[in-house]
Amino acid sequence: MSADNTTLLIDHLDHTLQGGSLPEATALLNTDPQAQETWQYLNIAVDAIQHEALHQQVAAVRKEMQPKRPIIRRLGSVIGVAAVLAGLLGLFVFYKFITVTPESVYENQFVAYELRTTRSNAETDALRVAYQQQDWQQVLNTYHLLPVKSGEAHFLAAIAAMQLKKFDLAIPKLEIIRSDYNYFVDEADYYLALAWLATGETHRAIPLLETIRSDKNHTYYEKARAISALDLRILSLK
Amino acid sequence: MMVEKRYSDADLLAAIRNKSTLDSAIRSIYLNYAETISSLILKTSGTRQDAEDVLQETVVSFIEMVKKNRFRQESSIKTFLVAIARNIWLNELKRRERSGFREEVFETSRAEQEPDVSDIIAEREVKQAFRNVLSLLGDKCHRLLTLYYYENLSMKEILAHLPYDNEQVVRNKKYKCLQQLTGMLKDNPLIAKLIKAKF
Repeated sequence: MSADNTTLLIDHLDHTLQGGSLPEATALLNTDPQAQETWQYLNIAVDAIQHEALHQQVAAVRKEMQPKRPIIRRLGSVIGVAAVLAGLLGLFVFYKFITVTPESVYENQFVAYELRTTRSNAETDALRVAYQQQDWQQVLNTYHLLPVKSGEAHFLAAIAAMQLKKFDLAIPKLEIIRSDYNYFVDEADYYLALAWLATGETHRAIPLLETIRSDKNHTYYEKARAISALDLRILSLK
Repeated sequence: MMVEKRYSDADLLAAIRNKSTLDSAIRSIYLNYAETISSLILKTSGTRQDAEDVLQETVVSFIEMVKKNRFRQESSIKTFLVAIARNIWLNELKRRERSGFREEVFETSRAEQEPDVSDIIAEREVKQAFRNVLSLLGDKCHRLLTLYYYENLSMKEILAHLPYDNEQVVRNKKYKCLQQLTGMLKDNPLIAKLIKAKF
């Protein structure tokens, strides 16, 4: 069948024929078997389109009606997992809260200062020998006998006092270094913070540790960072 | 949550015939009759998916009958829907060669005077052929023909939905798509046989 006749039939199907075209289409359908067959197929095509579209509409409404149970169930699972994780996190925080104390942090962080061969002078030699021998009481005795006390002498005596758990002796020595000297200052910062922790003065220890943790150039930056922020937070709450 | 309107049989038929209330009518059918139909399928060896499929086909067939004024209201909508579903399911079991269950389905929920739904069952294969053919048509053509022949949109309105330059381009494209679809239908043996039988 010609393309023009097909177009005529499609326009007839769509009810868009005007004027003399409508009788022309009717006449074609009455006389031409090929046109009649094409007409049947055009109608079936529209039926097919409408049938499929209705199927899709019904399916869409059905889908929209499906109880949101799967989503709720999924959401329920997510909430369940979140609740378990929150529970575990809560237990972990509770455990930390119980076990983290100023003393435990001190014990974990305190490492005896290793004496290096530099920074020595004759007046502190006896003190250094006692320190290297880890004779902490002898370090303190020698320190007291020194007529002039250097920053190193103050520091070694402070560490010796900390080894003997005599924090009341260690703290003033470390404070002197921080206020009066230009060397051993980073060491004094760190060990003073530890000494304050050991004596339960967390309100003084934590700001000092935070200062060290924020200064990448500080000698004890890495060591101070080794104390977790959570531990510090717990200490500040206690 | 949406509260669905509960239609009387007469109101439901009117809602199906009105494009703007068809969604609401479909929801109403599902809310009122889905359980009865599903339990029929589930009781006779069907799975939940079978029940969903039969239910959807039943709803589509019923709506088409109503729209074409072929539902004569000789029974209630519920009785008619159950009859359609039972026959679709019987047909399906036959296709799956599960005769043992067919007896059971035949007796289950059968009304004393069962409405005649033989037309629907006879057309079932052809409708499936329609769907198969349409699945081969390109998305753009399918969408364009749906907008025109199902949504009843004008060429101008279709321009808002599809990326064509002007109404004339839409018109030309629609001609081509329709011709392509009729060509594909001619190539389908089942549909070709159906058409030939008419001549």
